Amino acid sequence: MLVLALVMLPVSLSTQAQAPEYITYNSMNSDPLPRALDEEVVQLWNERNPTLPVEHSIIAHEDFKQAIRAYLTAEPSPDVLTWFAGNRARFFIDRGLILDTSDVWEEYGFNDTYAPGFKALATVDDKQYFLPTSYYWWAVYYRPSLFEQAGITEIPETWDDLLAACDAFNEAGLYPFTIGTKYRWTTAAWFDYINMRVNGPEFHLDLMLLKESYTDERVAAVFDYWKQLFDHNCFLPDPAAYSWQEALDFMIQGEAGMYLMGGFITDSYPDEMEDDLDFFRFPIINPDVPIGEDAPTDGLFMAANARNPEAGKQFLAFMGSQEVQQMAFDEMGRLPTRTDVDVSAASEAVQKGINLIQTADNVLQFYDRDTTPPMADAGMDGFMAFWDNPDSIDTILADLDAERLRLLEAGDTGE
Amino acid sequence: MATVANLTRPGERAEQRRKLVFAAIKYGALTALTLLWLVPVFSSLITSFRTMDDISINGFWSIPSEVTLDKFQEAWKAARIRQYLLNSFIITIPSLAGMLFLASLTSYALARFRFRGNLFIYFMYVAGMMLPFQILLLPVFRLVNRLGLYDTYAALILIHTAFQLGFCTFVMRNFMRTVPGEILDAARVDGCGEFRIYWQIMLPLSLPSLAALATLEFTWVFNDFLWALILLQSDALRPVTAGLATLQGQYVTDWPLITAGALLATLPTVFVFVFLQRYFIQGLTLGSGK
Amino acid sequence: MSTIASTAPQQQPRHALRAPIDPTWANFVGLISAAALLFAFLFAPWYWGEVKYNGARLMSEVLVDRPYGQYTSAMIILIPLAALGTVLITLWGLNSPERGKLASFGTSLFGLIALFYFLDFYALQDNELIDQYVQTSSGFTIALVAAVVLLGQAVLLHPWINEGLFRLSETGSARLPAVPAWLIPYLFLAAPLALYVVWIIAPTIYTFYLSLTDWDGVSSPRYIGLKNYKDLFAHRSFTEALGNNVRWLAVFITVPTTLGLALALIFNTEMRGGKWYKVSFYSPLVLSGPVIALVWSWVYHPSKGLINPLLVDSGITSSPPGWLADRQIAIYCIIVAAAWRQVGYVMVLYLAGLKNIDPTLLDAGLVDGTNRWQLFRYIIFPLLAPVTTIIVIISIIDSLRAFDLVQIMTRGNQNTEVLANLMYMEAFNNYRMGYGGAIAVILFSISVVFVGLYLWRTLKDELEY
Repeated sequence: MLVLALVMLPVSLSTQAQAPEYITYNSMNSDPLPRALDEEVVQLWNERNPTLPVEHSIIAHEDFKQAIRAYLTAEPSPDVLTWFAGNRARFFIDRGLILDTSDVWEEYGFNDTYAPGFKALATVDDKQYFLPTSYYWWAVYYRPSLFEQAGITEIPETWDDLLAACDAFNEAGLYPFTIGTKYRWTTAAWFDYINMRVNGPEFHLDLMLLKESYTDERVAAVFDYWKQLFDHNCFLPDPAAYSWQEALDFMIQGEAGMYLMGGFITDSYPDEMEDDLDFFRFPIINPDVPIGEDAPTDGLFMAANARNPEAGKQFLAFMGSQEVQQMAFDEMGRLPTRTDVDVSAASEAVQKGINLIQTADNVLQFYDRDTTPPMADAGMDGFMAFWDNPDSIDTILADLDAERLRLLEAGDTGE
Repeated sequence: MATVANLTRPGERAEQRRKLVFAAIKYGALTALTLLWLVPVFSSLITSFRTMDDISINGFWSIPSEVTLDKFQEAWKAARIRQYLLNSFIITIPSLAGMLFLASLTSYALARFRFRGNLFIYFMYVAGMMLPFQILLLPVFRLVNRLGLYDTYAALILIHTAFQLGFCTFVMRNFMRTVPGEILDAARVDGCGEFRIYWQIMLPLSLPSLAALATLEFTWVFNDFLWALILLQSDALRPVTAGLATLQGQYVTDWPLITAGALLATLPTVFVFVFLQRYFIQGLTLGSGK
Repeated sequence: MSTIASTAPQQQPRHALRAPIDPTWANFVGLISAAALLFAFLFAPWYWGEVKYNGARLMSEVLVDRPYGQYTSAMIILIPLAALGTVLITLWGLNSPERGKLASFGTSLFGLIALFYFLDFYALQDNELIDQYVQTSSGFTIALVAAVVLLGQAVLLHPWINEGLFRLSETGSARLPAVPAWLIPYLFLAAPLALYVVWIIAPTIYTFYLSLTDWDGVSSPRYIGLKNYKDLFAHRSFTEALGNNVRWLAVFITVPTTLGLALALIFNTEMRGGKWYKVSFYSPLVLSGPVIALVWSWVYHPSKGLINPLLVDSGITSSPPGWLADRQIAIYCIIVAAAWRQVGYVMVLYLAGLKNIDPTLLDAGLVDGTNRWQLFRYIIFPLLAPVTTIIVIISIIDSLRAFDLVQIMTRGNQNTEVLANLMYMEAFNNYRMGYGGAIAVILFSISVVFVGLYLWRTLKDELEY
């Protein structure tokens, strides 16, 4: 009892110092190079602000995507988090889980220094919730030396070229395309591109916004083309066993010639081999439709439940500063979203990538960022099922449309 | 064996030989089966001493071109297994102490007293230990958030303590019922208070069941994955199970590192198992209700 | 403490237990302080008034050089050591009064050790950050007080105080009304039951309510009746998950059960080295789900793992299956990994069951001239029936709980969805908490049937008496 009484005594031995503030930052940059950059930037901040340190948790990319729902509903949430632009961010914004950071845009002059297209990506109802920090392009990556080995002299520009290249690779005893579908999203790139090339980017966007039906015959046509790739044995066996990085190994070891992948592929590609890595635009299928490209934008946002919103905003502003974007560009070739980043030192590959996007008629994000998350989830399940059994496509599409209708009914259109 | 055979008559010698052959077959088959059984474990062990380049180029079934401890070092420090292990201990040990103490209180009450609701309460604990924990997920997540315990060790310690109470109570209550009532009654006549009887007589007598439970529960709590997944967000707090799961995401292609991490993560439970095996098995048997 | 004293008045003064100096008080105070120390360390805010910054967190930050570590002394590790040490030594002392004095001495020593942290923190630190930014909170204060009490509890051993305390407890308990006998069991039950009700019982009931609502985890739940359940049965993933759970269950009650029984029969006889074989078979039991999942993922790895290169190199097949990448067999690959762990469990239970069989029965059978199979079929197996029932029920319940292997090996892709994983994904990944709740309720309802069976088996004897 005596002890309890003592314990209950409101003895305050506090030194009366101001409680220090912390910023929590959860990021998904778990691949070695992005991780190093992320840690470097945080360290820079911590050195400059020893009394306002950032507590940095790096979560494996795929785990982060799954865990973010819990992070955002928890109390308190982390202050700053990495995320994707488009509907994937919108989903959380609509649920009131994201902090309005318009004041950061205002105060730090982001309204003027960010390209208008990116500001639009950040804006919902005239308020900025998202901070786009970089973007990248998608393309068909290949190894010129393997093209040579397979006797391919021309870069494939049409669908038939592509199929011919696949045949040539098969004859040379190589896998034409490598792909790792363990986490499903790599399949969505194929759907995006074939759909944009067959039906055009506008139809694709309408489909993403659930305005068009998955049972539309134009969608079925996409899968007819896709199926031709299976008929030509364009992919390596058992892709579902691999993550995208594991699949990349087949290319590094010279077993597979091509990879439809985002620009971040170079992060995981050995530096000494990068001379033997190039890319080209996804081949044209229907020359009459405009050219659409996927250029996903990554960035940061803050949780509405943030523990320390004011300090978090300062850190957010730092992450969006010219200095940090310049670092990301110089060290990793991340394309900046600000207009004041010096890109004159861009490598040939980066210039080619920028050109790829600038010459496109429409630039979209990516399947799982353009459509609403539940639809993306169902869609990617469908692509996986199609991959396993291409003949079941009718049932798959019927299921997808049922999901679309359910979402429409629930008002979950992502618009 | 041989000397025995020499001394016996020819017919018995044939019999002996038959037995010997039979034994040889039995041991041969068992050894083969055992080795097959342990293949996943051995293969991980072998993998963790190699480099991925070696495996990629020469295949798994080749003689390792070099043997290295680097992956263990890397897993220990760079992949933060040491921190995850520390967290596991910080979570497991208090949970263990809490659940054993509380369960022994409950068990004492249930085993020694007749009172209204006794069987019902016992029934509730036993039912609770068998239920799928998914039924608790959402409300507990909410409760933890409301209490401000989200992303703390405390949340995990509390839920483990509470969740394992069912099993511990079940085992200990049954064990305490086997303690002859005369000993306790004698103490009662001597004027001992109930708490004193529980503390100075019942608990020492229950030590075997406490030991068995402690060993078993240690592995269970240490191996929990789901609650850590749901109730924590900071990498700094993750126990080793959740930490391991993220290793796969971070070092996707580096299987030697992943297996090295998995082996390091297993060390504490293996240690407990090797040295306290008897209690471990006892716990399992007691827990099956027979 | 009141329970100790409460029953005294009806009794004679206990001269037998009245040693010249009774160390129980000191030990008890030591134990309580150690508990307070541990509680403060784990559950109370150490600095800055937030539970998040508890002592345990700070200690782990120090040990692995993380940011918060710089705000405390590295000697914080002494706090849990002192607390654990005290708990152990006071328990040791409390259980036998003659050791009590020694235990009290040890407790003081641990108190001194704990105080070193505070000394270091206040006096020896030369850290600007600490001076400027550290604001100690209740956990720190409680721990400091507890450490001082630990150090000082030996004072209670002084004859005067000890005598005084004894008199106090005698007279105090004489004055206090006795605790009525009917209340005693409830006093024992109060704390654990409260914990159990708050964390287990109430959440279970709450999930039933949630399953009838539309809730995204953010706004408040909206009642929608049985709609979630209707949606469930129209949902392909749900039927897939249900099917996979049934497959899991079918394999679990057959394969590990027979294999475990066979092994138990083999190892039940005396054999040389039997212990080592046994250990090999039940060692997977101590592996955690993530470890098993990772190890088996590696075994199944289609291009570099164990099985496929062997199949290809030995010329058995040139196009081996993709295992986890093959939608037709992926779920079985996971079940095999799960069964690998289950076999040892089953074996342990059967071995225990076999031990309980009266050997004379077996001898009698052998004398009768029955062969081994008949012996097993007509004598052993029927005698094992109760064990078998328990094993089957446990297997069913375990297969319904299946989660970690699926989550780590395939995340429920590749046609490997199971109910537990689907529930987790729907609730925490798709923000359909109510819907997830409905899946949990279905899972619960299926389990309840078997849990009921189990309860009936184990409680039958209780209910009869």
